[in-house]
Amino acid sequence: MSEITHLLRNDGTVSQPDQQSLELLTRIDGELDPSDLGTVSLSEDTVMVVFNGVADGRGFSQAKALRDIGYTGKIYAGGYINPDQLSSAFQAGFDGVLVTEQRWQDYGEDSWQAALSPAVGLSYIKTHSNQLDSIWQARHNRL
Amino acid sequence: MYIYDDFDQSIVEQRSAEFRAQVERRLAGKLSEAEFKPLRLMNGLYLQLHAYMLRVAIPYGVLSSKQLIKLADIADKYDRGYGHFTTRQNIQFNWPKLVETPDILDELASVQMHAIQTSGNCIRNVTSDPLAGVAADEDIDPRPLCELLRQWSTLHPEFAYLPRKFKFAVTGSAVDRAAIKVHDIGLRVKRGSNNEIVTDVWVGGGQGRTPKIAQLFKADVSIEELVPYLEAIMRVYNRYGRRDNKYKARIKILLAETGLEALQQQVDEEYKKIDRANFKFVKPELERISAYFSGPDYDTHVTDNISSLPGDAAVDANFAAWKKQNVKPHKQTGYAIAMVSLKPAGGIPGDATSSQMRAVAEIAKRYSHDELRVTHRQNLVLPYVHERELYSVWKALQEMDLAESNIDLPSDIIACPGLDYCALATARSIPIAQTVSARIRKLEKRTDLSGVSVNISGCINACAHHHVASIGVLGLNKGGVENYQLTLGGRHNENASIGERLGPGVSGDEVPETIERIVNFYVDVRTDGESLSDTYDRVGKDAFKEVAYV
Amino acid sequence: MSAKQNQSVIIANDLRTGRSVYFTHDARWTDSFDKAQVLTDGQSEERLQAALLSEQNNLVIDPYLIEVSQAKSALQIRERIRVEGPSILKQHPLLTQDIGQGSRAA
Repeated sequence: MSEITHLLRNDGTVSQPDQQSLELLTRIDGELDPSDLGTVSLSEDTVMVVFNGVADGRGFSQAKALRDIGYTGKIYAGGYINPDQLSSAFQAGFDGVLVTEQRWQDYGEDSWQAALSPAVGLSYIKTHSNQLDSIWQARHNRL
Repeated sequence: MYIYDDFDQSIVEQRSAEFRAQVERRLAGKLSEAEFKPLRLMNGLYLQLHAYMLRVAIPYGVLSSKQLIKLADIADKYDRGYGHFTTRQNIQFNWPKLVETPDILDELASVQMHAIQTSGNCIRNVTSDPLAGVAADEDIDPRPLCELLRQWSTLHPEFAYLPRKFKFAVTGSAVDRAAIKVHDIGLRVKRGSNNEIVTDVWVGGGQGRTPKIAQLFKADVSIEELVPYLEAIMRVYNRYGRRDNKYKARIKILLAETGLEALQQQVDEEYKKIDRANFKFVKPELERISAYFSGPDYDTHVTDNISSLPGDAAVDANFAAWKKQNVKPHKQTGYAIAMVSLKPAGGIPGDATSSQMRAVAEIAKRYSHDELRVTHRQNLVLPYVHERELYSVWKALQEMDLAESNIDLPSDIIACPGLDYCALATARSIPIAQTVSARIRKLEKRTDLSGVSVNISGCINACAHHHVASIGVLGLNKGGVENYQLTLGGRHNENASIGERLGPGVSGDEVPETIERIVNFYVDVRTDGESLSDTYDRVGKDAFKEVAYV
Repeated sequence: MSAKQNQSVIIANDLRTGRSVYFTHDARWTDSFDKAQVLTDGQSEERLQAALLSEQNNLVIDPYLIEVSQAKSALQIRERIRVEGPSILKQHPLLTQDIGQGSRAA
């Protein structure tokens, strides 16, 4: 298992995550039933939702589910998230995506950087408070 | 119709640029086919038997002349000069190259079109009544809600990787021309008890190998509650829909396995967790969208007596036949809805050549306020024709082989591409449709067959809706040979019902004669106003079986 | 029955165009079915392994063996349609291009 070496944030930045804090990170399965999220300590500073396969989209709803139970810390996504899913992850309310060295190499830096470009990724609706702004919001604030 | 603003435009342009980069990564070997496939599918690109196939979205079936001309140009420049209109009001091109698909998407974006979410396990193109906004019997124009749902579902961050595809259909009439009860979610928009707009939400309909009629899931949902309520349904489905077996992954199976009450309860629980403050833009957005659908400036001068218009029945019997069968009543006095049949007897259902597309686009420009519709029965509609222009419209359509007077008759066959194109098909459907329509068209000219419909699917996935036709044909492969099962008694309207398998399958050659025997028997025994499915329900399977198999 | 020699051809889709292509005796891909190498049972597995390299190299998608007759005609209807193109009876009267053209058309 390759080490997590890159933290991609929804502000478009890439940084190297602190390895020590990564070890202590609470990991939550993307597939976990939200009714079982009660075991997550609300005082955690950061949690990582682990995506176990690219075709399974349940993890994208976990950011909202965590906010629903009152969690206020940082929520990162990890595991099988590919560059083409970055914008969905950010739009769904994840604060960042953690990428292993192996996956960084497999897809190539170009692909990750391109996916981080601010040009990619608005959706029409914002469905919970932690999400990025939506088109409907931008449109009606402008009107 | 709806016109993109710069936000909408930037979405389709970004999406096209994103796909161009993905294609480059694929060609450079940075993406394997397994990784690339879901990406191309989310942009409507399939790989079929002979080539790629691009499915272009025609949201709720509404199309401008300019857009149809662009589709014709794409057919000529990147394809083989024709396109295929589908049962989900989309159009498919059968021969695009992967390397040229990003250019096609750019061309589509230039006329405010796209192929986003026309495939893949996501919310697909929202379909609707092809007569929306013009039908004489309509309660509420469903198009603004359809556009709202198009935007809500487009790139929705949580619902791009659902257990399976998800189809919405919306109608605003009591007479259901959108087949809402055989969709994952069907919406019936109507007036509530205080004259406010409310929606009935039907859930769990679908065809395929386990056909189901939708159940009324929640009645009279207010327009403010609707989007968050749909969001709650989607979240519950995404969470609990089965992912272990693709044939059991649709919401119809979740509904059947969970039970109506239990699933309603789960959705209610999820709905309670939704912070409605985040949906405060839904209502102003719906109002903004609605302004685009106020309709054209109708010519309200009452003109000459209609019977003295050119093309009077006495003048031209063919025109009279077309007018009777293909022209539907308009909500605006003096106007008519002209249906354009893409089902010439012996022809390929739903196909149109580039020259036909251009011709219809020009007719729409001249006679129908620049607007067209695509129907789920794979025909086109000219929604705003003044009655005094009907004769000119008919003449122009006739020149292009587009005036077959068979709308809603059995030769108006729905057929999928079948084994001639489709990688999933088990048997051919187009050649069967060709022989059946040629034969049954002769019967139609002798007697009223408006109570009969024929739909032909080339595999159990039922893309041609064979389950809900009065005569359904399902093509299978039996020991290496094409074999066709018949189902009788289906209905696709507000009284939706699933057809019943008649008996053993027959060969492709036997299908037209078998159908003819069934139809003749129906004509012999029907009572006044009875459809074939009504007769079937009354006299039973055995009587039909006896005549079908000789 | 006497042991009849089965024959096959390797078919795939070209990655860039999607069109049906066939594996030749010199390990290339052709869109002409007539130029496809006909394989006997003894050869087919080894040739398929060679063809699969082209998939890894992102030239083609999903190469597999199709059974052909002694006269080199695909035995299964699905594969015959892939080789010969759509079997549509009457084509579009207003169409300028031939849509039924498969890789075996003259």
